[in-house]
Amino acid sequence: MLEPVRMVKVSVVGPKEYLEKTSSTLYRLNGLHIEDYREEDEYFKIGEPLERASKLSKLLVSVRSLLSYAGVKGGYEPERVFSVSELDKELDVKVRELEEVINSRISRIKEIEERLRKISDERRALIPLKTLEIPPDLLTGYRNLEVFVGFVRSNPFEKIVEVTKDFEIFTAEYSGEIVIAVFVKKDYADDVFRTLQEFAFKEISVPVLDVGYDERLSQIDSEESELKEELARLKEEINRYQQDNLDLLLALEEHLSIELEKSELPLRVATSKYAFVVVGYIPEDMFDSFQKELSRESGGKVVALKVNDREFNPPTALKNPVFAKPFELLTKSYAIPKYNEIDPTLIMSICFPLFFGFMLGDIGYGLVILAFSLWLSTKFRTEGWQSLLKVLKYSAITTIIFGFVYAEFFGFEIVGEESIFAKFLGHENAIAKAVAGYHPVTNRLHDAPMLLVLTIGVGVLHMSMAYVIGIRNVIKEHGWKHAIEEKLNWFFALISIAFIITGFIINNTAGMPVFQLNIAYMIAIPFFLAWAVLTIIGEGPMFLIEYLTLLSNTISYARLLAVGLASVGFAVAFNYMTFEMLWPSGPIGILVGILVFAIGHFINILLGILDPGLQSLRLHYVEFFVKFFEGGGRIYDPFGRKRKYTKED
Amino acid sequence: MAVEGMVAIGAGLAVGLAGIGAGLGEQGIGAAAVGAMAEDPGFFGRGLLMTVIPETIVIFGLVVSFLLMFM
Repeated sequence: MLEPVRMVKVSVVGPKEYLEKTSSTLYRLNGLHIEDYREEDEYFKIGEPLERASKLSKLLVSVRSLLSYAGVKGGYEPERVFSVSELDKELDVKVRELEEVINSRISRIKEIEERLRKISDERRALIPLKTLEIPPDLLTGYRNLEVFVGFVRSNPFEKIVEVTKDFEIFTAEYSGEIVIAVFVKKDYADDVFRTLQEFAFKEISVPVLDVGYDERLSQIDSEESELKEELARLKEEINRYQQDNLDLLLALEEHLSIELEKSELPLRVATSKYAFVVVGYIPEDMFDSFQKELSRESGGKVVALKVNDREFNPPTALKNPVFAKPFELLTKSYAIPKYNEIDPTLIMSICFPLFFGFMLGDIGYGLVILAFSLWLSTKFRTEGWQSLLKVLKYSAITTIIFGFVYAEFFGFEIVGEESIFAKFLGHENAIAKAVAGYHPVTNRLHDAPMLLVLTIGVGVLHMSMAYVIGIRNVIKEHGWKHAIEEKLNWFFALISIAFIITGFIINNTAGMPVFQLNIAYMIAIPFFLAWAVLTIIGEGPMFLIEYLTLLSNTISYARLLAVGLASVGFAVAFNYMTFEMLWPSGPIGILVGILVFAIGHFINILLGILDPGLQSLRLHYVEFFVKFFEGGGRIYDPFGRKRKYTKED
Repeated sequence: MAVEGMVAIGAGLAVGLAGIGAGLGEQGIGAAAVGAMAEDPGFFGRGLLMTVIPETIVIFGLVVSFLLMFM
């Protein structure tokens, strides 16, 4: 359970003409993690892909480009599942049909978009021209005159006069800029143009019009609205068509990618003139059925054999009980365990929610987070989100449980003299009286010093677990000697730290001088010495300084209390503001109070998800994993896949 | 000023200053970690690990403030 799935190395050997069939069988069995064959030699070469591969990949490209317009949401469930034989029969026809329907519309859409751009450019030119009040046909088509039409920063009249007196200028204002039309003899055109450039002249290209501005503008408007209508209709048609054929598209995509993968298998295997060899890893308990199935499908021509190779580097397939599965996401985002390492997911699946609950611990918050994560899990259906939300659900449940331990509900106490019932229903109320005699198992604000010690204790236990696993991992990989010199010594150091802290607390509560020798210190000393000797032998004296790191790791678990105290502090403060300060001051006070209460607790809940989540994660990543978890494994990725949109006959 | 008042101020300073220190320490690491994550999302775990290393200082401050307030 703590180890990844046990694997065996397998080689599948058979005559070359069976490769295609074997490829299908392997894909269906979906168990072999294939090791790509790379080193070609005299006899064995990397195989050639099957003939149909290139045709398949062409079709696949078309289908994928069609799908890219459809925008399929993650977690989409098909209404209809197509059978493989049905798809195979008219693969070409279907793909071509889909393409025709969609591509013709897409090219029309592109045309329309181009035209829309053009006429909107024209309109942008026409509106400023209109302000000049010169008919369009008078702006172009002169033999001896040059006309400059455009925007300038300010009126260039005076400057043009310096060049020539033979000119005519018209100006108008348009949205903060000046529109001008300058008519000038061709002889002076260059000089005038240069002058205009000093005024940041931006030319407007005058469109050729046979009607007036207003008429043309209204033509443009009506054309534009027509085009936009058509565009919307085409998009809608594509959309509808795609929705109608979505299952087919997805089925085609799946079918084609599967067939392509199958036909590209030869690229990953060693082939000689007459035979092929596939090498890979398969879970131990799958091997027998795998072997039987292969030889049955090929009439005994293809055989699978276990290989006892020195080069044994299997991929990692995490194996965890159902409730711990979602936590694999957190493990993987740190690292993928090596094949021989302990997979910490299971431990994390227990400790993570406990830490979270311990920090947040409030019945009300727990219920809100639970409801929130249940609601979100109907919205976000992708695998990653589902895992994350499951983690959140477990954490919400432990939050509720710890809420009962602390007897807290949105920062109010639910038992005792000052319970929530006494506050709202009065001290004489039956429920208030009934709960007045009870006390919470522990009150975080009052019992903080005790809880601080508890959190350190939790830390010592948590890290001890890490060292035990670390010792096991090192024994497996490097042997006993290394385990003692690298891990056991640090376990001793941890024990000595635990006893030193205990001794410190004993002296402190008894009012003795802090470093007076007591029983706990005496237990710590031999562990401390054992650690020092082993570390100097194993890792060198430089590593003695690491003792302080371990000490800070231990104290780091105090955050379990600190984060919780901060969250309780917030909640109590908001409640105080609402019910003690604002509520008694009349109707406006009540309104503001409700607002403060709602916003305050909303923020506190958001922080309450984020902070305990991150802190709990951090305690696992930094304090826990570092002591035993190296990672660097490869994820087990068998040849084959689960079909979703298609089915085999 | 009463001793309790001084103790409370001391406790506040212990957490507050430690928090500022940790924040200063984390800003550079955090930026670098996010940059690394943009290159390779698989860096998330290690990035988080690096980023939170200076945080321990705050916990030290917290413990000191606890010792001041309660012992």
